[in-house]
Amino acid sequence: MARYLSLRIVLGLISIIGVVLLTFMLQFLLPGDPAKRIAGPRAEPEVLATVRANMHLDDPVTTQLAAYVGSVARGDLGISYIRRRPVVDLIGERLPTTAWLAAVGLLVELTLGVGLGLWDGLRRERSRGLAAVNVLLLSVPTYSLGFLLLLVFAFKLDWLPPGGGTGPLDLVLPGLTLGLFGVPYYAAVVAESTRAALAASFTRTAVAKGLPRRLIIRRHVLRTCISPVITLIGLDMALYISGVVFVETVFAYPGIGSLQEQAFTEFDRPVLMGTVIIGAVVVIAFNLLADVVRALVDPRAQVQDAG
Amino acid sequence: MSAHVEVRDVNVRYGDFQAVTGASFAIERGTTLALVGESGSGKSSLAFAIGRLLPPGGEIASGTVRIGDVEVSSLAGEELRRARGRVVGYLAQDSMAALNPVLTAGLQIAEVYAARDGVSRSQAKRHAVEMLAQVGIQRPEKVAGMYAHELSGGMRQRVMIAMALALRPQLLIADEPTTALDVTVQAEILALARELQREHDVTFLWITHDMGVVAEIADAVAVMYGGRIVERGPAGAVFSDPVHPYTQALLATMVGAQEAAPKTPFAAIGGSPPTGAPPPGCPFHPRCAHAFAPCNGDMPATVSLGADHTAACHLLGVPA
Repeated sequence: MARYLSLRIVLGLISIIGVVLLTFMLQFLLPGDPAKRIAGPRAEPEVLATVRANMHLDDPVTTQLAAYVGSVARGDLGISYIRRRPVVDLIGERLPTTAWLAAVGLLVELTLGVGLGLWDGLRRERSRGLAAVNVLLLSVPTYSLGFLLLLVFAFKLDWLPPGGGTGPLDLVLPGLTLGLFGVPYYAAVVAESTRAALAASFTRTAVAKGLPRRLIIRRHVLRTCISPVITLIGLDMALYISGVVFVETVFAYPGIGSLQEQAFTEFDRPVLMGTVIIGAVVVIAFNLLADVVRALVDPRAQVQDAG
Repeated sequence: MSAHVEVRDVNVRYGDFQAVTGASFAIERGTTLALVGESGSGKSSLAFAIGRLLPPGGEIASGTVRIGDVEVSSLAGEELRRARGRVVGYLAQDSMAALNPVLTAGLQIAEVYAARDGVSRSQAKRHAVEMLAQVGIQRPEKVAGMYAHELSGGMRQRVMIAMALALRPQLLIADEPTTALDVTVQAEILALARELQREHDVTFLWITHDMGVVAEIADAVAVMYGGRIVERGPAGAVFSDPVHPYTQALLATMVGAQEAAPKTPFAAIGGSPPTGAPPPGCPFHPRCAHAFAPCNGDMPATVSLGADHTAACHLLGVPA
């Protein structure tokens, strides 16, 4: 386990280095002159030259890269062109806000997904109702779902705030939009695992022992479904984070996602690069976490790691 | 005096498909009946029917199964659940698949005591460890904390036996429990089964396709083909004087048959067992070396050959 874990951490660090290199190269693809972003579009050429020199923009690319990697390694993600504040501070301020949204979305996703999956998986025949819900959720694009919820619950019914705040009520619509998107995947995985476990030989053993059905379901069937769900959370994390960016934008929710979206429209390179790196770190960390948790709940996982 | 286990005229159906037709036999207390046949002979369907473990869609269409004084075939709901493990136990073939991969061996035995006898957790755990010791497991405390994938095939099958015997069932159905094991381990498990039978008066219905296993363990034999019991009798009689051509062919596949007639090559039974509905008449006739006119017409009647030995074959000369 310890060997496996250290290997995974090393691999994770390598991936993060890759992401840092990629974001560094990505900035050259962005339009606009960073010096102009800072000094203003009508700045004198001399001023621009000074700014460029201060920002080391005239240095060779390799020197810039070394400086960038060095500062990222020290935990310095640069200073926002627009807000004139350290990117680390900007992200740090919004991290709890986004974490709340992500947690609520995951809660919705897991409760509904696992609930529907179990309900369907424990039936003898696949439910057409669930199939219809799945098709609906899969075919409605997230953005229209978000706008639809806004229209109905915020504007027509006026039950919930349309966004902009960070209170508990402000979390409902974005959390729902974020969570509903993943429900079909969790429902399908849970339903199939449940069906497989119900048909498994070990369930027949449990029946033959005369255990009560409730106990069989709870102990023998559900426990074997935990592992695939944890794997799915890990796999889904990258997609989930892009969902966070999108939902924060639609609901004007002041988290890291909307920060990234603003940075993108404002050509605020340091902020954009910083949020991309943070996103990558979160994805890699959650995949690692998912593996560790799976190894803890599923004794078989440890054996696979040893091999 | 009636036998300990009595199976009478059992028909098993999966929808339109009849897997078992008119199966009847009896097992005396503390003895082993081997139910022999190829894949698709209906032996597993019959075993599942007796253990009331038929998968959804399968049913006992008619006939009765009585174990001790319980008519198992008519049980339902809570009554059936309470009979499981106590009246009839089940020992599966593939112990790797039959044990839950994410629960320890000890818990899977202990949960039987906890859920069925209503004993405390710690007491159930103690019972489980005692049971593991009884099936010949060294260091049972340690094994109780292990998972299926950490145990060897023989150990897993011992755990399965401990689990199946936890509530001292009146009949234990052993569904080819040694098939997946290598020969030396198979011999150990068979020896353990005989020992447990001697000490605790266990009654076995032993499903197998291996005549070698039958010779090791069986007091009586029932041979199945195409969903029917084509011959049954005391093991000695069936081995020394097999009547049905299918039984003879099965016995010829045994390693021991080589010693009796060293020059003959290993016998293979030509053709393959029926997969869908069996052919009209005797189900074995398309593969039978002795088939003659009546065989593809009527199902031969079951004829008594004395001393509990019966067979169903037109060669016995009694018209159906």
